[in-house]
Amino acid sequence: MTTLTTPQPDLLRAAHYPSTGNYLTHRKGPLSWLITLDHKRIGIMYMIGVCFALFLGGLFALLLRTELINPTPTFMSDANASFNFYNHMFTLHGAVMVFMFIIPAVPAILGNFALPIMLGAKDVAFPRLNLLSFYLYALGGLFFVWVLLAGVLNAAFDWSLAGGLDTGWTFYTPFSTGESTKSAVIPATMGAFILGFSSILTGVNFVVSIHTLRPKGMTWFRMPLFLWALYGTSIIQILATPVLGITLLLLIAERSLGVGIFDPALGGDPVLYQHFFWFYSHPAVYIMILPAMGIMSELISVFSRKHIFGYKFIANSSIAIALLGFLVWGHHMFVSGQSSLASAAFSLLTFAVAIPSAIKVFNWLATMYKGNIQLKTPMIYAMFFVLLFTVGGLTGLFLGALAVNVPVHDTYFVVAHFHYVMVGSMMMAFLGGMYYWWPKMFGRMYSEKWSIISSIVVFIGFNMTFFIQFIAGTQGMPRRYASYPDNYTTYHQVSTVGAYVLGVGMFMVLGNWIHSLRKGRRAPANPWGANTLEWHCSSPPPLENFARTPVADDPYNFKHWHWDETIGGYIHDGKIDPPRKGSGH
Amino acid sequence: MSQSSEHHDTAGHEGFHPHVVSPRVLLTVFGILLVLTMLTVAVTKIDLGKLNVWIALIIAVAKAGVVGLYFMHLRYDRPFHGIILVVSLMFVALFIGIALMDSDAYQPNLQGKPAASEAMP
Amino acid sequence: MSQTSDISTSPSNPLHGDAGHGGDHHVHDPHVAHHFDSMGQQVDAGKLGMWVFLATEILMFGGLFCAYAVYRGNHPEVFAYAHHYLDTSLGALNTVILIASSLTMAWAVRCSQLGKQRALLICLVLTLLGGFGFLCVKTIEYNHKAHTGKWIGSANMYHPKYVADKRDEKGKLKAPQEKNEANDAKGSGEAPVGGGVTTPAASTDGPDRSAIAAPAAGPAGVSASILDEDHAKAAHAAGHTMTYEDLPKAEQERVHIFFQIYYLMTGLHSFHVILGMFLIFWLVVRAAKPGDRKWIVPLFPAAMGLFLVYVGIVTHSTGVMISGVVIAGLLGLYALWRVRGGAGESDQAGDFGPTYFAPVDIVGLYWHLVDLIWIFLFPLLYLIH
Repeated sequence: MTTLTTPQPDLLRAAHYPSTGNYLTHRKGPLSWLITLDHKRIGIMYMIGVCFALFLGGLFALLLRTELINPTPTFMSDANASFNFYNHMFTLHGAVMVFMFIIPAVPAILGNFALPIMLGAKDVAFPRLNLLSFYLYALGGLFFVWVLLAGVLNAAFDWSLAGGLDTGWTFYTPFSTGESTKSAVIPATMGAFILGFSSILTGVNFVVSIHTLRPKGMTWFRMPLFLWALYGTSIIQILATPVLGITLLLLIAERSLGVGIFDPALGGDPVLYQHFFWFYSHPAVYIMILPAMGIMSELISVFSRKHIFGYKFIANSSIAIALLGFLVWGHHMFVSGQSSLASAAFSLLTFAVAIPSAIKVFNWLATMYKGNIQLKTPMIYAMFFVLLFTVGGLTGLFLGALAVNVPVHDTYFVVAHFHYVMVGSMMMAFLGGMYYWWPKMFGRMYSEKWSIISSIVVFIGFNMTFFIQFIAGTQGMPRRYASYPDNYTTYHQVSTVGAYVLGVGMFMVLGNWIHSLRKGRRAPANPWGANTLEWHCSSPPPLENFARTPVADDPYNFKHWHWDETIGGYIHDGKIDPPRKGSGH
Repeated sequence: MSQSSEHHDTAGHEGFHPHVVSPRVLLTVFGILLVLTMLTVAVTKIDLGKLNVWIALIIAVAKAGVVGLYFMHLRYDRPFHGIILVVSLMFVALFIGIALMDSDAYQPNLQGKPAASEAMP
Repeated sequence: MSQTSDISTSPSNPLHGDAGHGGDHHVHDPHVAHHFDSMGQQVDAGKLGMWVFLATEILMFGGLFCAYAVYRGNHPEVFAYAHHYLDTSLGALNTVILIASSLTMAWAVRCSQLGKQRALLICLVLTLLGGFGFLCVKTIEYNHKAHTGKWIGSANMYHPKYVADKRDEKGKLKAPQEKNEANDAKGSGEAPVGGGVTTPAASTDGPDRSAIAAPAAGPAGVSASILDEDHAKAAHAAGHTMTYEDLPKAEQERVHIFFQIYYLMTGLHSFHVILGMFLIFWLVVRAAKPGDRKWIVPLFPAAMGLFLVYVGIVTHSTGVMISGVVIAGLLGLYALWRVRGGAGESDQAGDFGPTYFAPVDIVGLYWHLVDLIWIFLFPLLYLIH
C-alpha cells in the first residue's frame, strides 16, 4: 500500500501497480459489499443504484417522447381516452430523475469516492452514517419502484393497488390531496422523504469531513474546488432538505388524516404548499448543479494543463450560489397567486444568482485561454458543459424576468430550459466526472475512441431533443400534454428522434464502461497529471487510501507531473515546491 | 502517524480540556428558566394587544439563549457551533418571513371565494 | 483481512459506535475510531456532526413554525378562539418537567467529565424519567381532546368532513353548527355560549340539515354532554365574548386547522422526545458497569410496557393495556432474572470518564434542542392572548 508521497522514482513506479490488494479485491463476496463501511465501496454501490434510476427515468422519457410522436393518442391512452398512463409516466420520470438520479449522482457517487481521498483521509467522518445513507437511498428507491410496479399492474390487470402517480413530481396540492387522485401519493412521498434523509446524512458527513479531516497543508483556500462545491452543496442539503421532509410529512398527514393545511377544500392554503415545496426545491436545483460545477473546475484545469484561473472567486462563488439559491424560490410561483410584491423581489434576486454562476463560467474560460488543451473524453464533456450551461443559464434569466415568464410559463420553453441545466449541464458533468475518475475507481482505462464517439452522439441527441423545445415553447406548446394541435408536429417529431439518439448515446457510454471493466488496460496511478490527492495513491486505491496522512500542496500545480510513456501515465518528479513538505525522508 | 496528528486548523483538542460547568451555574440557569416560565404565563393575563406575542417570543428567545449558552456549552465551545445555530435560525426566519409576507398579501384572493374554486389551475 | 474486521467493528462516530478496537495499527485509545488521528479530532467531528444535525432539526421544525405563523398571522381570531381548549397548566407543567430534565442532562455531562459514575447514572435516569413524565402529561392532554371531539384530522369536530360523516352514521351526533350559518347567517346566533343548552337548530337549517336531530349549539356548536366543562373553561378563560359564532364564516371553517397544527407540532416534538429517550437509555447502558449491562437492557422496553399500561388505562383500551402488561411483565421478569445471575460479577466502571464523555455530551445537545423547541411551542400554542 505504497503511496506516491515518497519522492523516489523507483518506488513511484512500483506504486503504479500495487502487488497487494486494493479496495475492490481486499475482500470478496456480496456480504463484504453490503456491510462495508468503506466510502469507496459505498460510492460504487450508489453508482449501481443511481445508474438503475437513470435507466428507469430515461425509459420513462423515451416512452413519453414516443407517445408524443404524433398529435393523436399513440399508445398511452386507456379506455376512457384519458391519459392516466401518460400522466404517470411524466410524473415518475420527473420524480425518479430528480430524487434518485440528479440529486445523489455527483455527491453520492463521485463525492463519496473522491472526497475522503482528496482530503488525504481514510474515510468520511462517519462511515456508518454513510452506509445508513446508502440504505435509506435504496429504501426510498423501493418505494418508487413500488409506485411504478403497482401502477403498471393496475393498468395491465385493472387492479386497484395504490400505484401510479399523476400529480407531477412537485406533488402540488390540490392535485395530491384531491379525492379524484387514486394514485399512490403516500408511498411516493414516503419515498421522497426517505431519499431526503439519505441526502441530509450525506451532507452532514461531507461538512464534518471537510471541517475536521483536512490534512496538513490543506487550508481552506488550498482545497480542491470540487470540495468547495461539495461543501456548498452540503450546506444546501442541510438547510433545505429538512423543509422538504416536513413538507412531505404534512402532505402525508394531509392525505391520510385530512389535516387540511394545504387543502383549499378544508380551509387550507395551496399556495403555502408551493412556498414549502420550493423553499427546498429551488435550492435543490443547486444541489444538482453545484457539484457538477465542482467537477468542471477540476476537469478544465487539469486538461488545460494550467492552474485554475481565479481560484478564490470560484470557491466563494460556490458558497454564494448556495446561499443566494435560498432567496429565489418564488420564481417558480409567478403565476400561482403569489403576491406581486414577492414576485418582483424574487425576479430581481433571480438575476442576482446568475452572477456567481457567470463568475464560474468566465473563470473556466480564462483557465482554458492559452492553455495546452488536451481533448480527452472528460474535457470534451467539460466543454459541452460550458456551452450547454450557458444556454441553460441564460434562458433561466429569460424565465426569471416576470414579463417573459408569464407567457411562457409551463410551456416547453421551461422544459427545455431546465433540461439544458439538468441534463445538458449536470449530466454532461456527471459523465465527464465518471470518465475522469473511472481509472481511479476501477483501475482500468477505457477506449478513448469510443468514449469520444459516444459523447458526440449524446451531445447531438441532447440538442436535437431539447433545442427545438425552446421554439415549441415560444410557439405556445404547453408542457405535460399528451396530445397537441397539428402545427406542433414537426417540433415533437424532431424532439422524439433526438431522444432516441440520446438513448443510443447513453447505451454506447454504458457499453464503453462495461468493455473497459472487462478488457480495459490497467490504469496508471495518474493518467491525467492531476495534482489532487486521489491521484497520489494507486489505481484503484488501497483499502484505507493512504498508509500515512499525505501532505497537500496546491491542487492545481501540475509542474511536477511528467508524462511517462512506459507507464502510460504521469509521474511525479519528486521535486517539491517550498510549501509542500515531503514525508518519510 | 503521530507527526501528522496535531495540525488541523479546525481540529484542536478542546475535547480533552472541556469546560466543566459548575453546579452553581447549572442551578442558576435552572432558576432563571423557571422564573421566565412563570413570567411568560403571567404576561398572558395582561392584554397588551399585539405586543403579547412579541413579549412571549422575547422571553422564549431569552430562555433558549441561556439553555444554549450554558446547558449546551455554547459559551465555552467553538464559536462555529454557535454560528451553525444562528445561521439555521436565520434561514428559518427567512422562510417564515417571506412566506408570511406573501401569504399576507395574497390572502384577499383566498378569502371570500368558495373553497372549491381556490384550486390551482 | 484484519483490516476489514477492524473497519466493521470500530466506531464511526461516538454517536453510533461502541468501543472500538485499534486493530493492528497502534491506536492507544480504544475509543478512537480507526480513521481519526486523535481523540481530539474524533470529539470535534462528533460534536460538529451533532450541531449540523441540530441545524437540520431546526429547519425541519421551522417548516411547522412557518405553517403556524402563516395561519396565526392571517387568522388570528381562530387561534385566539381555539387555543382555549389547550390546558395551560398542563403545558406549564410539561415545560417545567422538560427544563428539569435538561438540568439533569447538563448535570450528567458534568458528572461524566468528572468521572462520577454513580451520579452520572442517577442524572441520566432522572432525565429519562423526565421524558416519561413529559409523555405522560402529553398523553393526558391528547386523550382528553380525543374524547371531546378535538382529535387530529377529520376526527376533529370542526373539520368539514367530521360533520358529514357523523351525520350520516348517527343522526344525533353533536356537530359543529357552522353549516347552519351557510343558509342563514347568524340565524342561530342566539345559541348560548356556555354550551349544553339545546337549541332547536331545525329552524335555521337548510334542507339537508334537517336530518340532524341533535341540537347544535354552543360556541363550538356542540351539544354537549361531554363538552360542557370544556366550554365553560373556554368561555371562562376567554373572559370575554370570543365565541364560535363571533368568528366569521370563513374563519369557522379554519378552526380545525389550529388543532391540526397543534397536533403536528407537539406530535413531531413528542416523537423527538421518544427518540431522545432511546439515546439516553443507550447512555445509561454504557454508563453502567459492564457486568450490569445485560440486565439493564430489557428494563427500557419494560418501562415502555408500563407506559403502555398507563396509556391503556387513560384511554380505556384493554388491548393496549394487556399488551403493555405482557411486555412489561415478560421483560421485567427477564431483567430480574438477569440481576440474580449477572449483577455484581464485575466491579469495573462504565464507559464514560474524563477522557471519554463525548457521547454524553452529544446526546445532551440533542436533548437540549428538544427542550429548546418546547420552549417555543409552549407560549406559541398555549399562551395566545
